[in-house]
Amino acid sequence: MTQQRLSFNPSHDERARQGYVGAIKGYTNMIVQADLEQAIEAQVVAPMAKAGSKKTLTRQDIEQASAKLPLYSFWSNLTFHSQDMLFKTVGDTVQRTKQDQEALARALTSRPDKKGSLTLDQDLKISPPISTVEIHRMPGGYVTETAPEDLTAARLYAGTIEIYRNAKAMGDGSQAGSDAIGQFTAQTVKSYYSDLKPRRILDLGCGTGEQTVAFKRAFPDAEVYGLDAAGPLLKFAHAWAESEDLSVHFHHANAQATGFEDGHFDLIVSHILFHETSRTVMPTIIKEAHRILAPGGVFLNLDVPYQPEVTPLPRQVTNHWQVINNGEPFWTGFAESKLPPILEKAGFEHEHIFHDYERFGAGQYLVFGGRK
Amino acid sequence: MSLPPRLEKQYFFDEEIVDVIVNVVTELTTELGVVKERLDTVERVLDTHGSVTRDLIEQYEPDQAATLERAQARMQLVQTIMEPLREHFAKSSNR
Repeated sequence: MTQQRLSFNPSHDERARQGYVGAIKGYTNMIVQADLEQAIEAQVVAPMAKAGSKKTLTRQDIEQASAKLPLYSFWSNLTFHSQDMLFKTVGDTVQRTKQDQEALARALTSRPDKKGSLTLDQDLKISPPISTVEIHRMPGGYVTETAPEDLTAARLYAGTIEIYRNAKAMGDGSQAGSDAIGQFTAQTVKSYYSDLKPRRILDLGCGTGEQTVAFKRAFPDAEVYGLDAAGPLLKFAHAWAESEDLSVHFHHANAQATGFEDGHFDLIVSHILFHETSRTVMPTIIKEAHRILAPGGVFLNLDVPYQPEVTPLPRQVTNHWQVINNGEPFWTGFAESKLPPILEKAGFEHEHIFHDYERFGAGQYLVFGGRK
Repeated sequence: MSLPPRLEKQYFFDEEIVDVIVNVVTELTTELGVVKERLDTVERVLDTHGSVTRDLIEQYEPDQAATLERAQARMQLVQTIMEPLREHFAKSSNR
């Protein structure tokens, strides 16, 4: 008997509505935002630069005047409201298919011959902001569950992420459940370090696990682990890996204190994790990654490419809007952090540290890390 | 576990009613798009089967060409409806 697989499965009209919300987000991010950034440049940056009171203008210098432009209000309105629409329409699919999908997840994870595992820590304390902020304004946040088998938060995240990514030109047109980003990271690892033959791989902040499974596909002989602080997301991740018929082990822990032994992993990766961490937490996670990495092991992270030195001033303004209005408390803090010195302080040697940009789909990602 | 608090609804125009009206336009665009896409499915099902049922509509899977056509149609509809607003705000931002 062929095994039934978990799927997102929107109805005809839900899929159409999700397509339209994606189109509105794409229109807002590309066309309206381009107009807005052009207006900020012409109406705010250029006159201030001409007045010449300061040698180098910063985001803070131009933010207030930019916010007065009518286009700023229009773009903000569309960005904010389309995010609500996205969660509402994906939420309709999640609720309609809840019973069937949760029953299937239960069946998949209780099979005696299942391939992977899930280790939950009932006492793990979730600290702010994950416990107090609705990240990306996702209703309920990432750690809410109304029953032990409630997969709502995970399925809401999994159903929205590719629509969001594609509309920001950060995706490759994939649908919900795609492991394209994980595949891209695995390929990046292989192209940077063709000699690396990892025995054990860890995906930090793995969330719903769609990208973690890509590492089992890319390195079939390796033991693959996923770690996250959000238990409800890990329950889905475990079911998802079983549904994909791949052996992955999921651990519920804080990335600052993983509980793994020194030198346990040959490859540690993360996908869009660090821009969700604060400036105090980030160095601790990197230090912990260095501790559990074996000598010769690789630590490689994919994240948002919004560092000020590669981001024009108007784009810094529209990016910072996300911090204020879209549940992204650490986005700017992350973008403004100097990562190589943090990696060095964590124990990576200067000549083995990397900080590059790699193209993916229509956009690019920051790739940073080091080899131990 | 208690739920994290919802971020309050934000208004971005000086007059809140402008935000509300732009929201209505956005919602109407989406709902019109859904109807158009359903009609497109009905036509495609009729082309193939000669008759149409709700089940056939639900089962319809667009092929690559139809997927591309739909992506273009969605962007086209959004742009057509939003253009007067975009043009107005662009003009008033660049005075």
